[in-house]
Amino acid sequence: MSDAVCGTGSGGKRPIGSVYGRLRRLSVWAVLLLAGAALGAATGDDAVAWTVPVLIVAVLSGMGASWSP
Amino acid sequence: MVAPKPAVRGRSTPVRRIGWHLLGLLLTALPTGALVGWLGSLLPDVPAVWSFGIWAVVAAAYGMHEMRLITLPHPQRMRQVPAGWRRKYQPRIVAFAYGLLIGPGYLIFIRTTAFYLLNLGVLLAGSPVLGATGWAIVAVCRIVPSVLALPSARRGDLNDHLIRTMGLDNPARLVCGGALALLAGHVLLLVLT
Repeated sequence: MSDAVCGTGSGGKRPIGSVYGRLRRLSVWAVLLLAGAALGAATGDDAVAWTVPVLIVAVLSGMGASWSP
Repeated sequence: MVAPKPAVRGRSTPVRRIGWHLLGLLLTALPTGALVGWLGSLLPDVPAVWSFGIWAVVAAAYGMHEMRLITLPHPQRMRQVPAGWRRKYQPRIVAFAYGLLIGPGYLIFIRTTAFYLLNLGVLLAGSPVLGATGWAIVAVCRIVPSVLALPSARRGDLNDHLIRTMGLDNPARLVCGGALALLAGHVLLLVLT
């Protein structure tokens, strides 16, 4: 099994921290949190329902599980 | 990547195997989601502000976890599907059986913590229909990469494709973390206003 396959070499999976800096990731997280809030304000929904968040995390669960060999 | 060679060759095609796999996934995913929703319906009623607020805070926190900013508990069964089945059974049976095993989501590694948010959301919603729908979506989304791999399989360069998709692992985690943060902000604002 090559390094690329087992994830230890340059062609395989590298730790996220070595690819994207911590401050950069934290900034993206914070911006997206605020963007989500702004989206909520912009859509003007007056009631929150479970359907949308649950179905979105379902998609994330399925897609996120799949890419990992 | 060296996959065990099947000892028993079947006449199934990759498309049919994906179909069998999806069938297996759905057969266990649908009742599992419905069961989680039903269990949630047995829980005492929690005011919506609290349930959505808790969910949003957990989503924000696991968004940070997915982006490797903090480390949170990541309980999972440290198992993969049994590779030996590939040597013993016909490919379509293996695809179906793997689907049955993977469908509930708890019996192998949990790659993304968005799955916890799915569980928490369905529990708090207390809806078997929503649970079954959510697990069905997970099942369908799980086969998307297999479908995308079909052209490579037909060309005979599946190994190259698999190696290429391994490189998507980190971006996928970051996208998942970002999406959780986005959702958390959205739900938090709706709860607080």
